[in-house]
Amino acid sequence: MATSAASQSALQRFINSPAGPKTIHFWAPAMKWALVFAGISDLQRPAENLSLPQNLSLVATGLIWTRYSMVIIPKNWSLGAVNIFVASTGLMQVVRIMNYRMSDEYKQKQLEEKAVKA
Amino acid sequence: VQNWLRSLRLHKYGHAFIGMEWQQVVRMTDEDMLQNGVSTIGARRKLLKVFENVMRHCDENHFWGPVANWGIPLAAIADWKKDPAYISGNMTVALCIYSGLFMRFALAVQPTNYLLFACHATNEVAQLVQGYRFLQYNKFGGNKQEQEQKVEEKPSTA
Repeated sequence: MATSAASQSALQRFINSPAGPKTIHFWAPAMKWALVFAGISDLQRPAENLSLPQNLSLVATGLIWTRYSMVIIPKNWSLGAVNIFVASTGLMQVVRIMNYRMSDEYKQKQLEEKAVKA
Repeated sequence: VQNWLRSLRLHKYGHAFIGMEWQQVVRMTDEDMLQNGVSTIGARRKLLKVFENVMRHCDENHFWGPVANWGIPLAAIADWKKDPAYISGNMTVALCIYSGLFMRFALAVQPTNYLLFACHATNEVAQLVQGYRFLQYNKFGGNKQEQEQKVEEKPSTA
């Protein structure tokens, strides 16, 4: 296989690029998708076991980074995309938590805990 | 750098910045530029303005981006005090891998971003603590201990 720059295929150029799969510059943002998948799998968890601070912080960081990935030089579409998903899954969880807190089940538990403390 | 100057229509002063990286160029002062051969004050003023914009842009992104990420470790630290039932095993593992990689990333970018590094190092610790608490609770019987305690308490409050 010829290795001169002119005859390198697009794939080879990508693999060898300074922000390509051989560098941390590729894998660190790529791994952010793990947060999205963990968030999606957490949609199965019962709302009463979700952490509000964690999900709010994910929404905040997701939104801020979605904006910044469009503002930095060069624009980073993949970073923007992953952060939109981080913010979205975080937001879905926050909505689930808020719904749970307004539910009868939760109010019942609050009453029970107050009764125990009294 | 030369292409950048061309886009600013100041490439005639390209000789003043030969062999420099843009990170050095944007830090040059008026005197530096004069010494290097940027003879007209108009050109120097225009360049200073451009440098100022670039510096401000870098400061904002190098600062506010990492600041946004601090929410994650702070949330985890706040959760140290809460019931381990709230911990998501999947999310904790994902965040450990994520922060581990980003600690390396922060040191590898130009210029090195120590604020981002600190944020991810803190988060790594915070998530490992949560991971330990999660395992303690779910795998090693913390869960059962809690249930046994509840069973003991109930008869006394009934």
